[in-house]
Amino acid sequence: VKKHIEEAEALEPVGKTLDELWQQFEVLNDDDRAKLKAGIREEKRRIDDCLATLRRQTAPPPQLAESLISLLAPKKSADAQLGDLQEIFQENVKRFGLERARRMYCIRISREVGPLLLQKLMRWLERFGIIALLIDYGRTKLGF
Amino acid sequence: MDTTLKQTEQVVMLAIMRKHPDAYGVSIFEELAKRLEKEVAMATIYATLDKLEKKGFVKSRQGAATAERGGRAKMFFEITGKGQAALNASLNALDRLRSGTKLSGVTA
Repeated sequence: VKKHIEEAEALEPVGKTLDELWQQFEVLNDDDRAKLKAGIREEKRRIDDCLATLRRQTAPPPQLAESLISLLAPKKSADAQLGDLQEIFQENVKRFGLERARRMYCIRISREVGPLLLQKLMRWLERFGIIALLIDYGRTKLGF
Repeated sequence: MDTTLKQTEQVVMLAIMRKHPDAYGVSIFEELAKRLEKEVAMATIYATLDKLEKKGFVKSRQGAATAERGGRAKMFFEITGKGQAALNASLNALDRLRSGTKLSGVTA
């Protein structure tokens, strides 16, 4: 989609070439020329609207927030989690607009950070067997 | 191996069953938000799914990547036979506990 946007943006704006086009339509009377000109302007406006919509719909979520998730989430599910969050983000862009969707995304990510940090800590503790060590220590010292 | 189910595990498994065969992160998240009337963090859902997979109660498969997900693939989940039996046993135990109390016969 981004490639198509770039291609469309690279095209020469219709307005610039209109005067050259008119010379080729000398056979048309003034009324027909005006109608044709209006038609072309309307089409150009529609294309601009489509491009703006496409740009909004393909806008990526805030990068910093995304990086935070990829850093904290387990490797196995990080991609799926980021994909899910982006899907929700795109849905919110359609419903509430880009700015609000970005704010909602940041709020959502801030809520995800707590559980992700806790999970990362637990994984780290499990890896080094600290929990088992603490339990053993508790058992021997405190007798539970 | 641990075959007991915590409440979070129960609700996630029930959401997977409700969304079958389209149970993936977003659909599970939305189902939980709709039925529980509160949002569960995506990280919590995935952590629960990971535990359930390790216990052999759910299995996952990779879906196709889509543009609206930034080219990232979906991860679909389904309950295994063992998971279904464990969920059934767990919910039956709750029902047995509930019967004979003021709450018996009360459903959501």
